[in-house]
Amino acid sequence: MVKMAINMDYAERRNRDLTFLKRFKMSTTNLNIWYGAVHAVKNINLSIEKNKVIAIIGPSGCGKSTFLRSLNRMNDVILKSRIEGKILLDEKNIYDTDVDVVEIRRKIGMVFQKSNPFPKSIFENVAYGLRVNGIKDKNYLEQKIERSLKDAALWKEVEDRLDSLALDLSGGQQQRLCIARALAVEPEVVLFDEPCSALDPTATAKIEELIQELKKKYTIVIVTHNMQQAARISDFTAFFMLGELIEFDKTDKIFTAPSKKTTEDYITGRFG
Amino acid sequence: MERHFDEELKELKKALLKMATLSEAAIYKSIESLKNQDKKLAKDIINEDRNIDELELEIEEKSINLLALRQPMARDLRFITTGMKINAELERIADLAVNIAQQVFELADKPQLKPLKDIPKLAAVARRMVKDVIDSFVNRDGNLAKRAILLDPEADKLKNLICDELINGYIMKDCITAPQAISLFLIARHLERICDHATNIAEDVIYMVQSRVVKHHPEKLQDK
Repeated sequence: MVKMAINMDYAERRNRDLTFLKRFKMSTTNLNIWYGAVHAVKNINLSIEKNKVIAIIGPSGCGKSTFLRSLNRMNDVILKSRIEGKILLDEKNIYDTDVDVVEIRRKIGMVFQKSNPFPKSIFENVAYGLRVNGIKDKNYLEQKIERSLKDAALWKEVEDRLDSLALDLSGGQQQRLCIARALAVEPEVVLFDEPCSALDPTATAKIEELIQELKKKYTIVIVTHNMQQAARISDFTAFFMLGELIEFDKTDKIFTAPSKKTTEDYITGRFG
Repeated sequence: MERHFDEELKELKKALLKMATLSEAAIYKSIESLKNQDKKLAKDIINEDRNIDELELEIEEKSINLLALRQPMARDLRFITTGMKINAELERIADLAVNIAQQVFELADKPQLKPLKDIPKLAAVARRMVKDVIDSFVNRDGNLAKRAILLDPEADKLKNLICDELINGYIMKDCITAPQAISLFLIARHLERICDHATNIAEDVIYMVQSRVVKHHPEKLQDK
């Protein structure tokens, strides 16, 4: 009888876990990050729903970029950084010792604040990740590059000049090229670290439209200083301050009626 | 440090308070003109309505500008959007005061049908509700707004009582006095509508202060 109860309890828990896994792509549990003695991210528990856009906002130095970088182990390259807690991608803790970091970064792509195309052709920029993964078939590469550039809403602008130097593209186009490069290796999650902060309003609008499209295929996490941008494009918003997650809720709730006064003061510009 | 935006919000609030004061005064004057059969006062109400209409447009423009130029969030957004709704409600309240004043012209110079008893009572409830909801807006007092909403059933009851009496006691019985009875009937209806607009304002104030939507959900009034 007791055994049965335990089994039922296990089945129930497993069931609950499966429901959770079905809904959420990533989750962090008691996540803490230090840079030397500085406690940059404090005990973050956050679940990221599949095919949604999650925006992270907060004042400078609040730990939002550190948190974002921890999601695909980019903090590993920073000396003296130390991490505690768990980050699950589906069922797997990405900080487990048996995890291949390169594979994690393939599954969880990243687009940075400043576009950083390689000094190569447009084609070679997008092909780079695929070549690193050993793909040589020219036909496959061409198909994949066309698909990625289309997904990044850049194809029409560059289809007749794929051999041109990527650095000759405009700022907005370069950023979309970097997005295409990230998409080429078929990630499951794409992280954006202030992707529009160096772009003009037209280029920004294109990237925002693109992000809305991309969420149909990918799960997206974006760090942004621009609150209107977070409001426009995200489904959920997390507000960080001094390394802590102050509030996490649906974006419309955060921007019309946040639960915490600190959140309200920040988004109405009363501090920060 | 106070932001420029805070100054602009204060300006908007000041304009809304002016609108509220003018609308409240219009109700007061309409009741007085009815009690005293004062056609001059009734005429004043009708003339002053133009100022209220102008002010409504001014507040609307100010609010739209703030939304477009400041892109407000959270409590600022709630203040401006509810301010716009309150603005429209106050303008309707002032229009109803004008409607009452128009009936004063119908009633004046004719012998009084009956001593006014329940209509002043209904008018007192309407004025009280309007005053309370304005105070609740000024002081961001959700509880006062809730208390104002709870007065509305009393207004409905009084209006039904007045209308029943006018229909059964006068309109159905005597076609000579029926026009006067219909005027009083309409006045009761206008006063009751003023209470409904005050209820709408109170619901908006509760949303503005407590982020709770109680509109169309009277049961939610009991939540807090």
